Amino acid sequence: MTLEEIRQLALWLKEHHLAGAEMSRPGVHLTLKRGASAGAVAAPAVAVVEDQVLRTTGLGRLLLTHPQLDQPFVAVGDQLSAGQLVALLQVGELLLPLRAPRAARVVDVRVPCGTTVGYGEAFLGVEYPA
Amino acid sequence: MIEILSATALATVQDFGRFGSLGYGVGTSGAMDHLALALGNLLLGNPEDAAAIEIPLFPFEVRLLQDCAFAVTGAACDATLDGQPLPPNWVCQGREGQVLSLGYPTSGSRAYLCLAGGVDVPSVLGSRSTQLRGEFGGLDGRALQQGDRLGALHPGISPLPLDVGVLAPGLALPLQVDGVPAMRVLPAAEYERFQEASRAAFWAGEWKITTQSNRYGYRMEGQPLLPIAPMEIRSHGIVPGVIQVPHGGQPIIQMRDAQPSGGYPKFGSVIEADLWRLGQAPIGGKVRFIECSYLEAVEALETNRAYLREVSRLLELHREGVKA
Repeated sequence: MTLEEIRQLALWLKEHHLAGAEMSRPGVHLTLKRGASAGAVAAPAVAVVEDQVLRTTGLGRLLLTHPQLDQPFVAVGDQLSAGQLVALLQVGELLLPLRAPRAARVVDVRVPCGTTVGYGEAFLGVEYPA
Repeated sequence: MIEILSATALATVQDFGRFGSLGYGVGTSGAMDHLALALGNLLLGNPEDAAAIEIPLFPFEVRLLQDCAFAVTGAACDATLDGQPLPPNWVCQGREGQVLSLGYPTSGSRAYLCLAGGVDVPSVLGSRSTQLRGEFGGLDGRALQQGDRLGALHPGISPLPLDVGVLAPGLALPLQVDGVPAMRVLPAAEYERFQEASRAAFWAGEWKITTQSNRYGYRMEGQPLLPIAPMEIRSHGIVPGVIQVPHGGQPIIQMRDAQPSGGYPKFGSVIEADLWRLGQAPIGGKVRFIECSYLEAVEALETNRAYLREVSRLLELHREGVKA
């Protein structure tokens, strides 16, 4: 199940004025409640399929260059080391780091600098060493 | 505990300043960029006015002699921690043995190294700021030297989530005229006693910050400010921000280490809320002045406070979010 599918489900719930939905599949249990407080539902442990992208960790404005600097954090072809800063998520005055989870090579940049992004959006294509 | 590795001069310990002692002839001292100091402290969960190291000359290098969270704010100066780049206006958990290096600034001119809990030096007359003229406060009343060691009040591993930054005050609260950094100025006591053409030129022209500028004051260069008639004035109290005009008409702006009295005519005063902008304007650079009213000056202070409150609120939300 992808985030896009979950967003679509949430949209359908809203369109049809449904209060919520619950579904189970092997390895996945999803609970959607409209109007519920965000903290009320505990996020279950999910087995994440590792794909060859880096994803945003929250909502905000994606910055590929620090606002006080000229050079972008990374460019296509760069070798990233584990923990390397690759982008920032600007939330109001705060700048939150987006870091490479482990060594990888940058394949493509998928979201332009300054774009408002949601949670879990793929912004950088990478290639992990085999 | 940190140790200064570089021989770079003029770095001092500063907090917001020493207030209430002007009557004894003790100037306020304090950070040239209050906002940068406050931001660094907010990032660390310190009181806003905790003492930090103000760094005006680069490169600057320190070694952490124990684990300690720290923030580097103010000038964007190519900071690295053990060779790994550290973004401007950022906080992180430092580990024992790591070396923090600050290079030449690409924007701004003064950096602040804030430590968890604040820099641990004795408070003298209610402040930890270095009083260079009186040789007290800070570390033994002097600028830091190679080999000096300074402690933090809360060293160790910070309980807070770190690795987060803030948008620089210069970007969050921009103020420029024709692409030149600007400061708001209140006309002062002798303003009306200057020629009308000089008064007009002051607001309309660019002013260069000369090399004879430091924490005591900035000597500015531009079209001379000429009085209608020569003025002889008795010495009187002055504060940081006051723009004095000596004979010759090139003004001096009193900065944080200003002496508490002077006898030159006062043309105006850079408002308290904009002194940080001057503190970050590089020597040799140009600035402009914008006339403002007392009410606007008070409002500007409130705008600065609102900015710090908003940063503080977002940091609290971020910490809650990470905990959850």
